Order: sequence, then structure tokens, then C-alpha cells
Amino acid sequence: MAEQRCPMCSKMNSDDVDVCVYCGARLTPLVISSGAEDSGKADDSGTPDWLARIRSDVEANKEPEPEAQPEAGDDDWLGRLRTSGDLPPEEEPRADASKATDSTAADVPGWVDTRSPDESVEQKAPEWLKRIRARERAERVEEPQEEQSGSGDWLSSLREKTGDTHEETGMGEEPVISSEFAPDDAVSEGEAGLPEIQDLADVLPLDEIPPPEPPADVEPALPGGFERIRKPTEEPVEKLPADNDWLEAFKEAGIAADDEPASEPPVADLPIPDIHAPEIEDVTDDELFAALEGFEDFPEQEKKEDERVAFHELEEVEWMGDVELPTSDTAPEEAYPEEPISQHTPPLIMDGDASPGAADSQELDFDAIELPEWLGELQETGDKISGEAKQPDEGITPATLPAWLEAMRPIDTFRSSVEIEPVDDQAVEAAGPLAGLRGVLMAEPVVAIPHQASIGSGRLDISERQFAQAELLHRMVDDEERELPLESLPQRRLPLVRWVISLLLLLAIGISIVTGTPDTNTFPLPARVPRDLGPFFTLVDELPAERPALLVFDFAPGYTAEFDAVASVVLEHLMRRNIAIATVSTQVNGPLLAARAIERSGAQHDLVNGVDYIHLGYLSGGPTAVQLFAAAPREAILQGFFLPDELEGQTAWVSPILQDVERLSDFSMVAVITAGTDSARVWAEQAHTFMGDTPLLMILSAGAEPLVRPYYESLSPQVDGILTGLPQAVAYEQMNGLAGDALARWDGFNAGMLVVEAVLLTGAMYGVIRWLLKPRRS
Amino acid sequence: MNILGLAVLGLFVLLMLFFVSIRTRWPAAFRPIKAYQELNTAVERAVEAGERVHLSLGTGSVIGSDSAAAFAGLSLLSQVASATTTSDKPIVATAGDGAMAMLAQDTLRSVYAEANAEEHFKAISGRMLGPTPFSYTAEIPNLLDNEEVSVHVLAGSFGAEGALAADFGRRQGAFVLAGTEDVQSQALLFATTDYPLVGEELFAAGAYADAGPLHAASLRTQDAIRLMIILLIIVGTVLKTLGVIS
Amino acid sequence: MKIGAYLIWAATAIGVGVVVLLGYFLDSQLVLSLRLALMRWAVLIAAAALLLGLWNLLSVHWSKVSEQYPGWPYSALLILAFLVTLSLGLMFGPDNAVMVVIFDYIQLPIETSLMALLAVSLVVAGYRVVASRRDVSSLVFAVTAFLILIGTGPWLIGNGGSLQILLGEIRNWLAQVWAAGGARGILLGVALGSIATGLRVLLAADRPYGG
Repeated sequence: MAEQRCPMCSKMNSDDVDVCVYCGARLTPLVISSGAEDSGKADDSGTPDWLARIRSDVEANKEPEPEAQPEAGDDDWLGRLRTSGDLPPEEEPRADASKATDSTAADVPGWVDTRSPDESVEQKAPEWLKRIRARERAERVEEPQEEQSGSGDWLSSLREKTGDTHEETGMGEEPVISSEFAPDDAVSEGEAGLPEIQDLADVLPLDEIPPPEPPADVEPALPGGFERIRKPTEEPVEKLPADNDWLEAFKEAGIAADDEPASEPPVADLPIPDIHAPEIEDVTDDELFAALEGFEDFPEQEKKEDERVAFHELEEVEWMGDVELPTSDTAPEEAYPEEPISQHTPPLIMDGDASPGAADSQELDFDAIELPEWLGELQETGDKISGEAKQPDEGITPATLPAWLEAMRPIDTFRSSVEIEPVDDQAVEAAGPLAGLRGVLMAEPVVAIPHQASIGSGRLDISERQFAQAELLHRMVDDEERELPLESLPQRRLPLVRWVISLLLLLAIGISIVTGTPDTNTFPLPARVPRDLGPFFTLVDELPAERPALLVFDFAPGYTAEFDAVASVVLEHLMRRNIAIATVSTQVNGPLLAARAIERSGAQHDLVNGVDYIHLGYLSGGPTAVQLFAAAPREAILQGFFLPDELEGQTAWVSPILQDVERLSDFSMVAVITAGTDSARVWAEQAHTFMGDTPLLMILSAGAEPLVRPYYESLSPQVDGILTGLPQAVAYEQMNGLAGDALARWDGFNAGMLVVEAVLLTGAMYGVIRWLLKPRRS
Repeated sequence: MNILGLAVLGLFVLLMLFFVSIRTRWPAAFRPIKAYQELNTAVERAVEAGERVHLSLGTGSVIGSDSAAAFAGLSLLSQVASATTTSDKPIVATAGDGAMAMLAQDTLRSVYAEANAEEHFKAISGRMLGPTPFSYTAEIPNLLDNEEVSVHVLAGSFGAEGALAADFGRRQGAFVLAGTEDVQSQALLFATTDYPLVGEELFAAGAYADAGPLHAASLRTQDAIRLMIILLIIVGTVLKTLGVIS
Repeated sequence: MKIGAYLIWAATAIGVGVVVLLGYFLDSQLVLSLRLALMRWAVLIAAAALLLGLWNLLSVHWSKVSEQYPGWPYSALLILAFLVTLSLGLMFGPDNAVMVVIFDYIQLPIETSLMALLAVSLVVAGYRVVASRRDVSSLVFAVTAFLILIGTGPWLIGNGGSLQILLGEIRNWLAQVWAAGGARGILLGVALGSIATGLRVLLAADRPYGG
């Protein structure tokens, strides 16, 4: 479906509507039927009838009397306005206008059309204007040509200037944006651009406004962007003639009426009122009315000047809003108090002479004003627009707000309607770009001064469903901020396997200890003598009794259970041979362990401290201390541990046991009792060079044997004998013929070993079964 | 004068410097050690979860032969600590020796200084749990429970108590990585730990943790020297078998 | 740490380390004397560090008690026991009967209990190895452990028989050949690693003293 662009808001509307659905502006100008064939029917191109009629009338008026000058008093509503209001002479405004024009030619905005009427001879005129002109011609045939005052028949002057060629200007069609635009060209080139439109007072008293000289070669210039809005088939620049500029046509008609007849005014092609503001001030009211002659829809046009309806007698036009029309009793001064700017024409440029104040003296007597027919059509159009606005459902689907948006609409925040004050009550803006205008919205009471909204302005109208949804959303947001309690750690599985194994071991060892005796053993004793046990036993058994033996207790207290059994067999053997024993340790707790061991084993032998045994104490310093002790034992140990009372405050070296010991080799043997490989290796590596013929024996835990054995089995062994674990200790006791702690622990040891073997076997079987039963994955 | 010893020592130093100089032209390619790979993941996970990492330097002393393993643990400590400086619960390093605990403190202080987070360093991050091995191990469950440890690293000199410490970590549900220089303890740790460091893998901690170019170079040097020793052993065995040498 | 102090510590560590190391290779009396002196100083410093470590231990537990962290009663008991033992030791000496009683009836049972716990833990770990793990190393470990146990443990039936003797020999063979050989290789690697670690400290690549 074809669409048309609204001239006001530039939004697209369908082709079958007359009023813009967005802003309410009329899309097609009102067309006054010109002639029977054009009466009440818009042109095919969409030109309103009233405009066509205007054009036609202009043409009709232009042809017979191209030089007809508009006269004051003719059918010229503007002229009547001027005359009734004792408007200043036409020349003055015109002069002012011309002065303004001359002085402000360069300041004329580009969007103001400054083309000469002559240039628009070949321009096309809208259909509605054609009809206007045609009707006008028809009326002129019937009635004698009315004399057109120079100031009244501005329309006829427009006709003379614009010429006969009236083609459709494409008004009503969708304007086309062209690429060319020279907004300032016309202004720069035009010698006399459009005189600025200061106010309507400058417009109305057209007869007093000197017609400016139309620019000869000035090209129609438009402000930025608007030049581009043209018909697609026409040249952009040329497409904006005075044909489309109805006001300029009026102006030119007025100019032609007052002064020498200029070129053919662009009469017929009256453009749609748009921003191409014509030289309105150059068009007299007579000319205007003359141009509007022949409009059927404006019966007032047919009336004589004296029959023109006073302005105040006009029916209230919808579009005029709440404008309070001055009555006949209203003096012009009261109707139009002296204000810088009249209400009819916005002042564009303020100048000294062309001050808006000049319009103050222009008082209009609307009593004598007879509105042209086109104003009546405008009134109908306004009614139509308001009617359409009031009935938005007709023709278009009204926009429906969603419920949530409807609910958010503030109820009491804004006023439903803006009251427009009467014209005389409206303040005149004194500063800014809107200076001189009435009806300017005051910023201070509304915008600049902060105000508090009325109570309840934020009250929303919500439904129950919306309330529930809001509550849900609120709860969700609160849940995000709420701290959740720490979740308890997942319950660990009970260590059943550990408990079972512990119980089995406890039972096995405990029962053996409780029920067993040193003399009887449940488990068979070792049948074979370990290979390494023989040399060890022989060495100990052949030690010289007069030299003390050194025992190094380098194990942690945790290994006491094992070494109580393993080391005790050697201690027992030494005690039975009455060999003095000296103890030393590189561990912090070693001296205590040594003392405990000696005490336990020596309980049956009535050993005397300081005579049968002596404790050298703690040897601090690690390997370095061992090396130092091996090199010079008396320098490494300066005191003793658990010395007898007679040696209190003295060193252990003064005891009878150690009085002959100067070096490490003076000992009969050195036996290192350790569970760690490091200690064994340190003693083997550090002390070997200082041992001489003294054997170095190792009493080890089962785990340390693999690493110490190389020292024992090497070609130049650094260790002369090793005794490893409880089994060899039991065998040692068997060889010694003594039942000691080793045999006492034999049953418990074996029971524990059996439990461990059973556990490993069970675990292996469980692993195999689980592996076999695990589902195979393809 | 032990010339052979000096020669080996000099060769070691030269090889280390050589591998450092050619590291860009001939980058090191080490075999993957699953324990270190999983350690990176576990540390990252602990940092993300706001859990603590515990690194134990063992019960060895500074002046003993077991100090080398503790120093290797310090290299690993510096790298792991640098990844946990931003954690809500920074790493805790413990030792069974006072001097080693102080070295742990100094290492952590340096790490925080490099990360410009000295204000977050606490002196108790490096502490001594006990002067003896079993007293040190006895404090491990309390530490694991109170400090909410999720990564339990044993990198130092341990005896049999190392297996107990590793078992405590496993029962806590923590990621346990254990390594020591003691062979006997390594056997125990193999059974009680999911990620044991066998052999000298503990001394490769610095190279695998990108502690510096010299760490990778020293590891390559160790491999080179080891190859030489292997060759010497094989050659000596052959010669001994053939009777060339007595 | 300021850069000036860092250089001093590094220079000190490097200098002392080089002197001690050279003392093992050179026969110079001067170097030997320096080495012995430095090592004695190291022993003294280690003893002093032990005291500092104990102070660190006390401060940690004291903070737990003062701020009542979870488990603070145990920290309070530790501090109490420490103070009592220290007082008695300083009062009576370490070789006093009182200290022996404390050692025999408190420390010794605790540590032997921990060792027993270790034994149980090792058994449980062995069970988990054979039941859960599915790799070659775990299989070799399990088989070796079982053979060692069989060769070491008692024989209720056939004690002294050929099978027991055979298994005993296998046990000795595994322990004295394979385990010893493997341990030797590990010890070599550990020695190389220790050398590398020491050299890194001497070259200031590792600075455990900070900086």
C-alpha cells in the first residue's frame, strides 16, 4: 500500500489517511474545489482541493489582469485586518521588511525559500491550487473583476508571478530525499533573500509592507536536509519553487499589487505551507484574499470586504485552541496588548528597526476580518483531526499497553491536560532564542525548580498476579543474599577394615602374651641358625673381658619394644661374661633408653653403676660428633649420664671402667643398636677408620638389614657382625641357652605375622574376585 | 688430597653450568612424574576452595646428612608457597627441627616479599611441631584437622614415622604426596601414599616445579653422572668377571 | 629483605660451605682447622636453633589457647606439660629419677603406641595395595612383601621342611640381593641429589636463608 510522509513529523502514514496518526497533522492540505469537475475531490496526486482551487483562482486572476494590483479594501482579509487595526502603512513594514531583508539577507536561514517567482514559472503547482485558480477564474467571469488593492489581492499577485504553468508539485506524495543540498547557497547568492518573518503583524498588514525585490537569480535554498525532501522525478533545487510555497506566492501577489507588476507571479501553484516560508510580509492581505477568491469552501471569500466576517465572529476553530478571540468591543490595544511579539508570527530575527515591538502598535480589528474559505476548511480539518484524535479507533488499531506497563503509569504525577492561557495572559519570552514569543513554556516552575511529587504519585496499580510475581522475585533476591549454613561434611565411612585388622592383631598378640610362657612356645622355634648369627655370637663370646664394650643406643623410644628383645640378648651375653658396658647415644632419648635397658637386663646380675656399667650420655652433633668421638672420645664427652654418687660432678672418664680408654679402639667392641640405616651408615663410615682391631657390630631392625649388609659383606667390611630382628635374637638365645625377652615375644610375634599374612591373602583374593566380577566394558 | 673427589665435584659444577648455558638451545625433557602433576592440580584446587596446603620438611636436622632432603623440600616449598600467597589460607610449613623451621620461615618470607604481600606473611606459617620424630608425627592429626588441610605434602627426611604421617593425611581425605631420601621409609610410603616419590625423585622437585634454570640443569647433571656411574659399574663388573681387575 | 643483607647472607653461606667442602678434599691443616671450627659452630647453632624451635612451638600453642582456636585444650595441656618437664629437668637434671619416671611412664608408652599404630596402618595399607591397586609396581610390591613374610614368619606345619628352607632362601635372596641392590641404586641417586642440592646452595641458586 502506498505511503505518504507526514510533513510535520516526517513519519510514514498510509495513503488513505488524511491526518497523520502520530502527530495529528494533516497530510493533505485542504483543497477548495475549483470548478465543477474539481469540486470536493482531491487531485489524483493527493493535492487537497482547497489548494487546487487557490491555484486555479490565482491563475484565473492572473490571466486577465496580470498587472492587477491588490487594493486595500478588496477581498483581502489580511488587508481588512490591517485597515481595521490601523496598521501602519504598508510601506513601512515593507520597508522594514526590505531593510530587514537587506540587512539580514545573509542571516536568512537556508531553509527559507528565496527563490524569485520568475524561476518558478515552469514549476508544477499542486492540483488543489489549480482548482483554486480555476474557480477563481470562473468566479471572475461571473462577477466583475474586483479591484484588488495593492495590499489586499496578494493572491492575485502571486498568480501573476508564478505563472500559468501549474503542475502538480507532488504535494501529498512521499517526499524524496535527494542527495544535493546547498542550504546556504541561496542565502549567499541571493541578494535579497526572504525578509525575515518577524511576526504576524508584519504579515497581516501587507499593504504596509514594501514588497521586496524578488531575487533574480537566487536559487531556492532550503535549510539543511529539507532541500533533499523533494519529488523523485523532479530536480531537487527546482522542485522547490514558489509553487510549493503558498505564502511566497501570496507575498509575490502582494508585491505585484503594490508595486510595479513584477514577473508572472506563481499564482496557481500554491505550495503546502511548510518551512519554506515565503516573504509573507510582502504579501498584503488584499492579495491574500484575492488569491483565495473562488474557493467554494470558503464562502467568506465571496464576500466583500465589508461583508467579511470579523475575526471575532468566526466560529471557534479547533486548531486555535483556547485562543481567546478579541471581541468587537475589545479595543485593539486590549486585544493585542503591546508585547514584543504578536501571537501570530514567530519572530525569527530580531533587529533594531524590525523589532518585534513594532508589531505592538499593530492592533488588529478582527471584527472586520472576513476569513477566507480556506481558513474555514482548516477549521473543518481541525475538527476532523480532533475528531480523529478523539476516535483513534476509527481506521487504525489503537495501541494497547501491556498490563504491566499500564500498571506502571503514574496516576497523579502529571496533569491530564495542559491549560493554555489566553493570549494576553501569556508571558512574552524576553531572552533566548524564543525571545518575543508568547506561550513559551516556563522552565522554572516545572523543570528548574525541583519539586516534590504529590503524595501517591508513585502508587502503582498492580494486580494480584503482579503482586505475587513481585513477591516471588523479592524472595529470590533475598535468597541470594542469605548466608546458607555450612553443609556438614559428608559422613566418613567407618574404617571397618582398620578396626577388624586391629582387633585381630590385638587378639593374636594379646592371647599369646597372656597364655604363653617363656618356657613354652606355641609356635616352633627357628630350626636353623641364621648364617650371620654364628660370627656375631662368636665375636661377642670371644671378647676380652678386661676391656669395656661400647654400646651405642641410637634408636627412638618407639622401637623399644623390638630392641628390648633384640638388644637384651647381647646385653645378657655381655653381662654373663662380666664385660663392663659403656653406653652412649647420638639421640636425645638414647641415654634414657640405655639406662632402662641396662636396668632391665642387669636386674638379675646385681650390676653396680660405675663398676659394671657407665653411661657416657648424649653425643650431640650428628656425624660430626661421631667422627669427633671416634677420633677423641674423651674430648667429645665431657660429662656423663646417671653417674654414680662418687663421680658426682666429675666426668665419666674417671670411672674405673673407662680409665684406660683413650681412643675408640680401646674398647673391646662397639655395637650400634639402631633401627635406621643412617645411623648405622654414619657409624660405619665415620668410626671405621678409628676402630683398629675393635669389631664394629650392628644390632639392627629387620628393615635396616638390606642397607647395612653391604658394609658387612664387602671385601673390606666396615661392619664385623650384624644381628637382625627377633628371629635372630631368638636363635641367639637358643645358642646362648638362655630364655630371655626374645623367646617371650616369639609367640606373639608369630601370631601377628600369621594375621598379617592372612590379611594380605584376603586382600589379594578380594582384589582378584572384584576384578573378575567387574562388568566388562566393550 | 682427594683428587678424584675434587674431580667429580668439578665435573658436577661444570656440567651444571653447561646445561644452564644451553637450556634454550637444548631444552630439558624430563619424564612425567605423576606426583608432581597431580600436586599442581591439587594446589590449585586447594587455593580455589580456600583450603590449606601443608608441607612437611621432615624430622632431619640441618647439620646431618639428611639435610639434603630437607633442602629439596625447601625448594618445593618456595614454589608451592608462591601459588598460595593469594589463598585465604596460606601454606603452612612444619619441621621436626628448630633450624629447619627457621629456614622454612625465611623461605616463606622471601616468597611473600616477591609477591609484594609481606603484610600477609605470618611467622607461625613455619613452625616446629616436635623435637623428636614421633612427637612431630603425633601433632600431625591435630594440624590437619584444625587447619583444614587438603593438600598434605611430605618432602624431607622421614623415618618410619613418615608412613604414619602420610596415613594421617590419607585418613583426613587430603591429597598426600610423600618423598624422602631414606630407602626404608620410601617402601613404607609406597604403601601408605597414593603419590609417593621413589628414589631420588624428591631431589627433582625443584626442576619439576620450575624453581629455576639451575634446578633443571642440576637434574640433567645428575642424570649424566648417573649414566657415567652405570657405565663404570658395568665396565667394572665385566672387567672383574674377566679377571682383569682384582 | 634488603639487598644489602641478602648479599651478606649469601656470601657467608657460600664462604662457609666452600671451606667445609674443601676440608674433605684438601689436606691443608688450615682448611681442616677451619672446617672443624665451623662445624662446631654449626653444632652450637643447631642447638640454639632447637631452643628457638621450642620457642616457636610454644608461641603457636599459646596463640591457640589465647584465641581459643578449636582444640585449644590440647594446646594448653602441651604448654603445661612442657613447662612442668622443663622445670623438673632444670631443677633435678635430665638423669634424675623424676625424669626417668616421666620418660618411662609417659613418653615411652606414647611412642610405643604410635609405633603399634604404625604397624596397624602398614597392615591396612598393605591390604589396600593388594585389594585396590592394579599396577605392576603394586603387584611386585605385594608379592615381595608376601614372600618376605612367609620366609620370616612361622610354619605351623612343616617347620624345618624343605619348603620352609626354600622360602627362607628366597626371602634372603630377595632381601639381600634385590632389595639391597635397589637400595644401593637409590642411595647413589640420593647421593647425587644431595651433591646437586649442596652445590645449588653454594652457587646461591637456592637461598633457604631468605632473599
